[in-house]
Amino acid sequence: MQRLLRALTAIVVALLFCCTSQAYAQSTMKALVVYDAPSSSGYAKLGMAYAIMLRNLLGHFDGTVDMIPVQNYTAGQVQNYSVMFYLGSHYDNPLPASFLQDAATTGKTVVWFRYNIWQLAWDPEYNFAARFGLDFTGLRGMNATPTSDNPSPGFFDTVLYKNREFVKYYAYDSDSGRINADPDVGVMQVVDTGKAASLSNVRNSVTNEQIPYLVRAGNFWYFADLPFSYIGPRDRYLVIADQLHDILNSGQQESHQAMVRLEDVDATVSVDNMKVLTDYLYRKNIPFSVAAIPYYTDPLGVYNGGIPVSIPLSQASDLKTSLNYALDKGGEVVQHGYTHQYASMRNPWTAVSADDFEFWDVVHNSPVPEDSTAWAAQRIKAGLNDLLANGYKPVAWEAPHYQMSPLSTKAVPPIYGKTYQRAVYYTSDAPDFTESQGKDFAAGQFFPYEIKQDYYGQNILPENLGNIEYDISAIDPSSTVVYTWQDIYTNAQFALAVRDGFASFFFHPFWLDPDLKLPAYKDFQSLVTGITNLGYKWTSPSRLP
Amino acid sequence: MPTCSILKSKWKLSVIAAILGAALSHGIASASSVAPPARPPGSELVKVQPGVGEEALAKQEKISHMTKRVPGRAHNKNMRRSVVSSSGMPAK
Repeated sequence: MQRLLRALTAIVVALLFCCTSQAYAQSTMKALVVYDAPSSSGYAKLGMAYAIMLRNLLGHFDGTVDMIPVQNYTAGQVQNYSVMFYLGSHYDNPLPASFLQDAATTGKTVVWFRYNIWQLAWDPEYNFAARFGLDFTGLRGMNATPTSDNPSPGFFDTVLYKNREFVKYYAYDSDSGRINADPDVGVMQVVDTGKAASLSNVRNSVTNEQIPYLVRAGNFWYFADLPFSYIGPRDRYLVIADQLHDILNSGQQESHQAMVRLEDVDATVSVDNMKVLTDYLYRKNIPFSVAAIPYYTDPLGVYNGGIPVSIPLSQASDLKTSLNYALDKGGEVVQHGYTHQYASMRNPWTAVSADDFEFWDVVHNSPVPEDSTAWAAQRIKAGLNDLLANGYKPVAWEAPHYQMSPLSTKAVPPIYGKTYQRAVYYTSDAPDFTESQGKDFAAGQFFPYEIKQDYYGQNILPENLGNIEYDISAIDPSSTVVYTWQDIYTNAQFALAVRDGFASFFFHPFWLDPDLKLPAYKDFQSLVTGITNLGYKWTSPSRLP
Repeated sequence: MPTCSILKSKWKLSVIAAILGAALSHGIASASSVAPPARPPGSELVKVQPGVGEEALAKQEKISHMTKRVPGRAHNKNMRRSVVSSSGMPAK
């Protein structure tokens, strides 16, 4: 009997342990993102832009995110969350005492970015140094004011993380005297190693001085800068993207996947080029996708001797041949807009499909006149119906030129469960970018991993590396951009710093045109081989959850 | 003091206390008295771009704004040829 009781007790204890562990593993994040929104400033909405970007990254994790301006914070609010982020984007924005008190004393995770930490660290009431083992000593930025004689005096521009150097963007316009960069950092020193540690340093590339970039003292984290400005594929933005796993205690292991997409495939596609690329990927057993534009149109006849031309999918024999061939060999279709251009307007280039913007007036940097969620939904559905009617079931949506208006973007989630792209985010639904107080901001953002739900409710599969470009200015003066396969390969190396980072790129099949005499096919193969050898596992949109 | 006046005073005090409490909890009356650190040189010249900066992409990362567009005569030629073949209409 005693044995039986012991056995039953053991089972009950084991069950309790299992349940507890499971509950712990399944605990979801509840995040509060607090940002600066000073009322009288041209940068009043900058903090919101950063908050949206952080909110998007948090969309990689299970849970919910709330965003509030710091002046709306109420005493004890942090206790309703598992983690609180404060984005100190506005120098000396006055913070509520209730917020400071809670940030100092809560047991919940607090993550502080750059400015205004002095209101906590230098106020004796909060006992900051003794509590956290940290000492905030001030701000650093440009080593000197740049001039035309000394345009790059240097700053703390190189974040050292996982044996890589993430260099922040910098450009000085000597004509306007403008510094296009975000050089300011907060200097937070560890004074008690029993309580705090530096997890990453940032180096001044001129003086070689190093200071902590990211420090942690128990539940308190401090980033020296705001890692959401001037982001790029080799930027310190990847550090916060990776560190969120530790901040949120996600338990994520190293896992890296790759994706490739054949881009801007419409009625004018070269079947030969598509077959070459499809055959190669098929031979390598690599799944891939094709960004298909359902309806081709050239309303001004720019490429047709001045005669307008439109080709619906039902008549686009080259496109259908290409898609059918790809589908037979591991390809998937992604809907890339409806027409990938807007009306008969040069927006901004030709009004031809694949050239122009469809859901954003890039000429006037505003939504198009008829912009609405219903208008965008109608266009998306028109393209989707064309694809379905011709036997193609697209697995995801990709916005033309990665840009839609806020209202247009909101049309996507009810139609598509997945998007596959970068995206632009706005600080209002009717953005006004004019130079005035409270002007809006637009922030382009790429993601190193899948975002289950972004600010607009989209599930986003990442494209984070870019695409190969060649300088063909000898035959087209406007085509001067060069981006080599080695550039993208380097981006893929940096993407490994994110523990579940993707290597996802796209490629335009027209680069294989024999007339161009470019090494495009060879470069494409080199890139695919390089990414494979970095340890990435190839996948495709339909295979991702 | 008549009881009625005391009650009125208490009522006023409680209203004032409630307003003060609400203000404090929302941080209205809570500007920090701590002097900020000096700003680094050149701060007034800094222009910050949230997200993918156009200049950053064009100059450092060498990708045009949202990394997509590749215009070009080659593209045009390809289009012209394909328009003829896929639509069945001769280009005029």
